[in-house]
Amino acid sequence: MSLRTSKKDLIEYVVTRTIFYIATIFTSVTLIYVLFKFMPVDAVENIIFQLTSAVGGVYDPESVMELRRNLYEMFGLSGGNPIESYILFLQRVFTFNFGPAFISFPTPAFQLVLSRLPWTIGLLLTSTIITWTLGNLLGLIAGYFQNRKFAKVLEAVAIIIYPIPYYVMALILILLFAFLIPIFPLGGGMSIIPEKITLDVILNIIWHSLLPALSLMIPGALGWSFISARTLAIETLSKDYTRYAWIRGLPSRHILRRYVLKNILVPQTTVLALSLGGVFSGAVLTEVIFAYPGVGMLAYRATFSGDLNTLMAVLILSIFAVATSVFLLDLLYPLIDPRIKHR
Amino acid sequence: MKKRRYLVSIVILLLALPMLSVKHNINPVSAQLPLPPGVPRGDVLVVENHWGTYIDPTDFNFKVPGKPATGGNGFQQLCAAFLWYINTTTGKPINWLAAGPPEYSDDFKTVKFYIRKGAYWNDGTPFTAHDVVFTIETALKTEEWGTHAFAETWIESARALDDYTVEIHLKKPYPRFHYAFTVIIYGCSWWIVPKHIWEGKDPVSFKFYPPLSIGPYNLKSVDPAGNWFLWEREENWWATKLLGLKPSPKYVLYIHQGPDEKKALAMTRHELDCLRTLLPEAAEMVIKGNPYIIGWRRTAPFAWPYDACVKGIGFNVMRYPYNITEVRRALTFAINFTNIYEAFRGVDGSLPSVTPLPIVPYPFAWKAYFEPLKDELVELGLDPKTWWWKYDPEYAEELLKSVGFKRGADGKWLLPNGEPWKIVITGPSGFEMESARLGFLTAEEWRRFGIDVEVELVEAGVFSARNAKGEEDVGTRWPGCSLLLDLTPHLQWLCSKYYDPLAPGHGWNIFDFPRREELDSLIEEMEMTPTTDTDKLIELARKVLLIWAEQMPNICYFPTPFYTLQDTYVWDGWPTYPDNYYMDPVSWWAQHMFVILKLYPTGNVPTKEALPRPGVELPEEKPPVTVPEELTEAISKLSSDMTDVKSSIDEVTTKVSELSDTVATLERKVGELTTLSTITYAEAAIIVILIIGLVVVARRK
Repeated sequence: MSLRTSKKDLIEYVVTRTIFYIATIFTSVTLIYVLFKFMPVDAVENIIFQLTSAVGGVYDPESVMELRRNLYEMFGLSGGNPIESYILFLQRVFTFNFGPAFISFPTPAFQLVLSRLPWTIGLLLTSTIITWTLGNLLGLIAGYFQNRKFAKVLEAVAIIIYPIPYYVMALILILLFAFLIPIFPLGGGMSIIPEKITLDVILNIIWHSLLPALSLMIPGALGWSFISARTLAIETLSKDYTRYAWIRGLPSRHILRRYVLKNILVPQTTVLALSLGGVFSGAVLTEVIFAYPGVGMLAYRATFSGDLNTLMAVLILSIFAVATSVFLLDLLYPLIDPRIKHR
Repeated sequence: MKKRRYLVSIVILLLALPMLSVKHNINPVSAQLPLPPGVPRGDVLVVENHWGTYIDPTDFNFKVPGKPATGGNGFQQLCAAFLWYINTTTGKPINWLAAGPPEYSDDFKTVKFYIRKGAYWNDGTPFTAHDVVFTIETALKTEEWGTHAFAETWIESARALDDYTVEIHLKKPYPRFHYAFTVIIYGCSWWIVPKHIWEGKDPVSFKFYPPLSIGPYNLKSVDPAGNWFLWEREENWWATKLLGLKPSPKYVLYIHQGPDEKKALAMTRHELDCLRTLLPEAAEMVIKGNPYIIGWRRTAPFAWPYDACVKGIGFNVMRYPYNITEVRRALTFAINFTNIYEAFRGVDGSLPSVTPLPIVPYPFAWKAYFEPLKDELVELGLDPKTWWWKYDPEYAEELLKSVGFKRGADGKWLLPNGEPWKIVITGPSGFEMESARLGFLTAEEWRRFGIDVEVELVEAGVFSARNAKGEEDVGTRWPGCSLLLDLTPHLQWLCSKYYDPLAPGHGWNIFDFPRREELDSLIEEMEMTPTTDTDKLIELARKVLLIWAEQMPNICYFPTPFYTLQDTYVWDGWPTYPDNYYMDPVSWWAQHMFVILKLYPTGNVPTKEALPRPGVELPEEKPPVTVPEELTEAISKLSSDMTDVKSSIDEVTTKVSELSDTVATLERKVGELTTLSTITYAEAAIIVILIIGLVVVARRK
């Protein structure tokens, strides 16, 4: 009876979460549609503006009028029935066919996003995992040994670093390690001519990613991850069950691993899942400062140019990624935390 | 405890040592540039990629609009096929792949382009009229090309009369049709495509990669991440054979380093040889940190004062109260221009070049337009001391009151209906920071005059849309751009026939005022005047400018100074005003090719394949004479006569040369004599005694 109830609960739980998942995506996508409708940007006017301001008005006015009409037609921006366009929008979203990118016509917008995705994933996935692991580990140690000198030093450093915005950290790192001690490049994705994928090419890409990664990792690991892990560790140490473990005379390593670490992992895993989902939208400021060719840079370019198709591709991908991470997390939660039941 | 501290110290030292050694070992001028193995920095010219990251760096089909700029990756400077260029310093044309100027029929409905014989693409295929015709025909057929609209509007047909003559039939008369094919400001969308490469390809999806060059360099490599493009010198370039031109740098690298601060760091480290501009703070950092820096001038002030567009404030004349001329004029006279001008004084003393009109005050434009119009402009309110509109708040107040405006109890201005008057100035955010700054400075002036003003900065996409659709009251604008002496293309936008309901802008060209018809007819007359009739064009343009000044649809300040810095550490020969002013320092314009052709290595860094200082001057050809067939014989006779005359001149020249030699010899002897005269009397006495002694000895013998 108990087993049957448990299975039923599980199915109910999965179904409910799946419905929530679909509803989240549907709502977000609809919000994006509404947002786009109200966005005061216009890719066509942006192109015309670029053309006419670049050539300083040495552009035949009659032709510009004709060009404007052509571009509206070409980009499918000539207006139309809002319901029809909403249905078309949904079709595009669920087939991942977002139409051509205006900034690289006629290349499909999604293809552009895919071409930038490996750069972003390479940078953000690695830095997110390292940040999370390092931050939690240091936070755990600093919390567990809260009265030791090194723990206090770590805490002081974290309090100083935490409020520094990551883009300011980026500029500081550039000044230190790309100018005063020039051991890293000023920016870019790579600086050797890539005939084929070799170890040198890979090392060069890593060398270029190190400063952007550090600019994300330092404020991350010694910021939010560290502070939250430390606070959670201190809080867990003051719980009755941990005190009881001490009284029982359990080894401190055992208490650290089984009582403290396991308990702080639950909320921190949520943060990790959300961060991993956010990887797909890129890190706009970091990518712009380091001239790093990721999805964030693409979104930046698309926004500036009014390229709604490309921007849509980036946003929808990000929505799917975050929603999927949360969905997977919901499914995995009961495994991490036995207190959470399939209800 | 002591032992542990000792160990920690050792570890810190061990960690620090490699860092110090790294710092010493890195060559500060080539440490981080993407160069092929073994290429020394002295072989490479490093130019800023002003566009930034190219989303698809392998897409060179810039015929399709919406793509990145052609000046960021070097395409238009080093590779593209252009028929004519305008020299930015004189406003005069340079015949490049065209053999001479175009030839129009009397009714301006047919035009012939003459192609330079002997030019060829870098794969060896000759550049011919067929390439031009193919480009035109493809533009006519391909709606997705940016040039299609122009082709559709103007071109009836194009054909090659022979390999080197293109005949184009126009739908309607157009005396300046060739401007579309000329690099005037920045670039030109009518670059010619190589027919043998593009034929049979889909003109929209074809990426033209690698691009076949006809310029001095070929694309060697691109950054898959889209930040840099490396070009290698073409050793068999047509212009080397025909004109003796060959660039010195073996490679040219166009690179995007990131935001201004990083460009400044790169330039300070000699990792960037020239760039478009920097914010004054970043420019200061470079000027102080790199003693080899020069700008538009060899010594400070460095900023280039002639960016091709005048920056200022635009009034939306479709909106109340900016449709009232008195209001616009009052707002102009309420500005103390000195405050705005001085705010743009650079740390190096750079100042902008003032213009009250919507044209750039190049030296040649100054002579043609500004000076002759001075008296009329003074009558309209110009202050001849500042060359801007006078600061006259009393007159501004008078003007506003004359149309019903009044001040409230708090001294602030009210609209004629008694409501508070608030002006919102829309400005650009994240780009064209100088325009945003002008918005704030203007707001400050109007606030001081008693108007409630707010500045709203918006991103590029929003800014262009609002500008085009007229969704703003007042905006920071580019009221005018110019480079040519013939102002027709720069002023024709003021004509009411170019009003586009899809993009009305600030509505000036449908603004109705008493002299509207006169203005329209003046512009139409300018449009039908041939470009060669300079006097008439100047006269008509002056009248248009005066009507503009009467109405003041915009407030023009100046082209904002550009810190187009150039580093003389690795390369020199850069253009500088006034001594070596052969071109402007416009590294992002197509004309920069002519600058690259004049550069030479300084020897401060090792070179391997960089060529020494080029000895050949840039082409300044006389246009070939194109005449009707019946005059060919006469021309031929004339040219044979000319040959005789030339040989006579040669003879005379030789004789003059001989005479000069003789004069030089005489001068030298006179010099010697003069030298002699400076010999002391004692020396002279010794010489006389010696001579006498010799004579005595000779007599005795």
